[in-house]
Amino acid sequence: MPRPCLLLMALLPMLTIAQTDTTAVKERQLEEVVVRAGNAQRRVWGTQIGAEQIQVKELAAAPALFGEVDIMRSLQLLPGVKAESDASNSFQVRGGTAAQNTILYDRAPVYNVGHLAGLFSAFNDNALATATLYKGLVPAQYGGASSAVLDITGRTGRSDRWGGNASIGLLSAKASVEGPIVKDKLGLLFNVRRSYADMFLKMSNKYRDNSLYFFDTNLKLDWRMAERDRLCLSFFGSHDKTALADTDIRWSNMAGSLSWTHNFRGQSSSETTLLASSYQTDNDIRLLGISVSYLGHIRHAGLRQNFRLLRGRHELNAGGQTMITDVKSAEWTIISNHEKEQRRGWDNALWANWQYRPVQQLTLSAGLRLTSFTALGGPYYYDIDAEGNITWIHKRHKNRAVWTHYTWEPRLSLSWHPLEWMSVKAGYSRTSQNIHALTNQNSTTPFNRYTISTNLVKPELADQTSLGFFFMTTSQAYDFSLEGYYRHVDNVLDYRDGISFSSAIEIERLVLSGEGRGYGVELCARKNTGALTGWVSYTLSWSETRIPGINQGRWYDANNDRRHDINIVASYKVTPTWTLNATWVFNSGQAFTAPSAKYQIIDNYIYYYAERNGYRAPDYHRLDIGATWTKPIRRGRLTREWTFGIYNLYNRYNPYIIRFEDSQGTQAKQYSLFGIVPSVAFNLKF
Amino acid sequence: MKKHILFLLLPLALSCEKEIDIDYRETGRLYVAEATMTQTATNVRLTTTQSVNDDDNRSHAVDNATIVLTCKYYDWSDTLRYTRNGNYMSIANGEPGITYDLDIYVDGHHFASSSTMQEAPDVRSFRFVWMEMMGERLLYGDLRIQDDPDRSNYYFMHIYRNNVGYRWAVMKDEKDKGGELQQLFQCGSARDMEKGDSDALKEGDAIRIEVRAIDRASYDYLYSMQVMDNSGSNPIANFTGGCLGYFSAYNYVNLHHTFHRSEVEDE
Repeated sequence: MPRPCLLLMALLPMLTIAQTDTTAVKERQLEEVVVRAGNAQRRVWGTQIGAEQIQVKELAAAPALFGEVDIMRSLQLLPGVKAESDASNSFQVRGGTAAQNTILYDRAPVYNVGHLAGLFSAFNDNALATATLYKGLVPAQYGGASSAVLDITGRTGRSDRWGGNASIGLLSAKASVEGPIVKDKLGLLFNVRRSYADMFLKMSNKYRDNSLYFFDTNLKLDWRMAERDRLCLSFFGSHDKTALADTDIRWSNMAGSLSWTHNFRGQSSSETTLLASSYQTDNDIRLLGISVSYLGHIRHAGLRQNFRLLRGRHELNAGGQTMITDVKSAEWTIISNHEKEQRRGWDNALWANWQYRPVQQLTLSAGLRLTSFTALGGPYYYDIDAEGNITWIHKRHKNRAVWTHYTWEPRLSLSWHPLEWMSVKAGYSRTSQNIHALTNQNSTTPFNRYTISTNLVKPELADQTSLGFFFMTTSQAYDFSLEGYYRHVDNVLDYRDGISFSSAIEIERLVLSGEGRGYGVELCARKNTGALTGWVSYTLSWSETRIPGINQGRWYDANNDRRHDINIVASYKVTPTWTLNATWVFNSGQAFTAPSAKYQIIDNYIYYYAERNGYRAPDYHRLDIGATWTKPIRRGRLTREWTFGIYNLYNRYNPYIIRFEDSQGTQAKQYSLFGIVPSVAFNLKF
Repeated sequence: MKKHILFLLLPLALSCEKEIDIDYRETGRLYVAEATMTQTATNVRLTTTQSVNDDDNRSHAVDNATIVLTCKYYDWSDTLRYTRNGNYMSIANGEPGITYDLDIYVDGHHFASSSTMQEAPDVRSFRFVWMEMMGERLLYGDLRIQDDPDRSNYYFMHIYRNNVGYRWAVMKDEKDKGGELQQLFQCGSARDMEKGDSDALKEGDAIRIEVRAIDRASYDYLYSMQVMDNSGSNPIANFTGGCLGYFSAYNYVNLHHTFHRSEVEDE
């Protein structure tokens, strides 16, 4: 396979922090419901099972690739979390797919959050404060995902003085500025990051028609209106363009929110958020006179209100959200043919989550989320027969209800710590999802098609039960966890056999619906203090799917099924200026489909597949190392930082794609993406 | 300096391929029929599936089947004659617009399919073209067909290299009805040729391009075969009863070409 073709295949899947305080109220909220990485006591005593919080300043534990501290790659090192592939920033949680996750940036949903074949996250670490990952068990105030919710809180700028930083790496540069526009009243944080691989390419006659470009920016304004009132404006934008010869792949994300937080007397508070986001794909192929363009988008605009009431041992979160969702599943122009499918939905939710601590050792949390999702008229809706043919067309006036799905989602969790150094936690959660992604080969690409729930497509419904044991040493230097889970999802979509994403504009004609299940055990041991810190995690898991019409209707291993995952993350502070870190990742072979027989048709060997995903790819393992040199200068007013990293130190070619070729007998060929990748970056903080 | 800067980008373009061992699990044999009816004759090749590591297709020929071709429109039927290597034939030829039924009886099984004969395709041209991508010269075959605007048309295009199947594709005209349709075939790269890759074209290779006008059912089958690489799934069924393969009544046109690297055009 020519290398440009493999690179293109890799790039398709891409078509896809904190120095100071964040919003104080939000911080307090987070502290109640999540467990901070690096804090053993909170991990052991926290109420919510299956929640992991990352403090972005602690991401330095993992080696920086291309000098970038990457929140998404760090998430992939947590137990129960998997990378989608070698070249992906997307993550999968407890057997779910990346498309079943919701990523919120200051409350606004964002999609396909990778740059440059997943080498970079779309999130600039300078702009982030905390990220909380709910691995399927989420409080009632969160929803919209049948797998996991990643809630990212952007950092607010310094309110005392102006500062910032500038950083340059091999492939990108970034800069930020922050400070008080009005001292102690109005703070600003502004970040930009840009790749310059495209500039290098332009220097060469050979590569000048190609482009590997990305850009992202973050803006946050934090206005302390009064002692008890705070207004935050947050904006995130990113844009990617990959051009190989006459193929342009572009996508962009924009997310904005305006949030008003009011603190009542005591510790109760109210948060009102106006939010909007847009994810857009725009792909063009122009090849020897053939011109093809594919467009798509997901847009949201809504209002969210949450009250947090505290009284004694009780805490109540209650609120609601209303949001208009606009999904263009596809708009394509193929030569002279133009087709479009774009639909809107009205998404509403009400929730209440009550937390009660009857005694010091026991915390109960119970919640209920009610959601309604209405597919709105304007565009056509259909009835489809078993073969995928349209049998009836439903026409409704614009914005009139076509179909409404109601779901009720109970949430329950319990934490009992009879001894200071140990706890037992259990939880049950039902979640639903009304935006469905259709992916080929289970990877996130700008060619993914999305649809809302309609008269034919039902909301994905996930039920998860989890039980965990948590321990720490009395000094909190070490802590250990053991968690087990079982997850079942209804109304999972997959392509019919013999269909591709562009076979028909009407997305319901392409899909079949079924169910999925996942179960497993996650172990983690962490060292929290001393020069050497880090963790070792092990996940044993199963993930299966059953869809009538695929694999003779039998259960089969899901595309992302793999049995064993081991992550070792270590950071060693050698001197006050030097820090070394290393990560070793081992994944046992991922499920894939191989033929059981072959036959000849039109002079070519055609493979016969007797079972879906019945084989295992070779194991994946990789060692990354990094070193950071940090030195304050000018009496601490400036800090210089050099970051060196080597991705895939022992240059192992891990499986990315396995294909079968029959030019000289049947050969199974493994294609790998990245070998050893060294990097260096310089950062100046002021 | 430019070289040094570009060197920094190299990791992005590096990749590696290697052959891996797989212990294939065998499955029971299934019947496979490739049945074609043209403007001159009808041929059916009946075989069974073979092991993934077995490259002798002739030993899987089926010689004890009864295969009957029926035309309800003219009310006739014909039993195909067995020749050799699983091949059955009849001199019955197809007439555009007429639907033909094919029934296969073998070892207690009955498989059936039908297909409608099409008008001959209007093939305009074929050429080889170089395209530059990330510094590599890729070779494309560029085929042009003039579509008939008065009906829905489906095409199957097959490049033979020295009489052995090399590349194929299917196409329908809904994207540019009545226009000049274009199909590209990626045929390796200049580097593959220089390395002597067995899949790369060689100087003097005899190239035959067969363009068939096929019906919707044949198109659906062959299209599903075209996309199956991506999904690890089997083509949709064209025969009833569990037989793999398809039956297609088609009109075809052949183009002949000899590959000379010096004649390849630059885009």
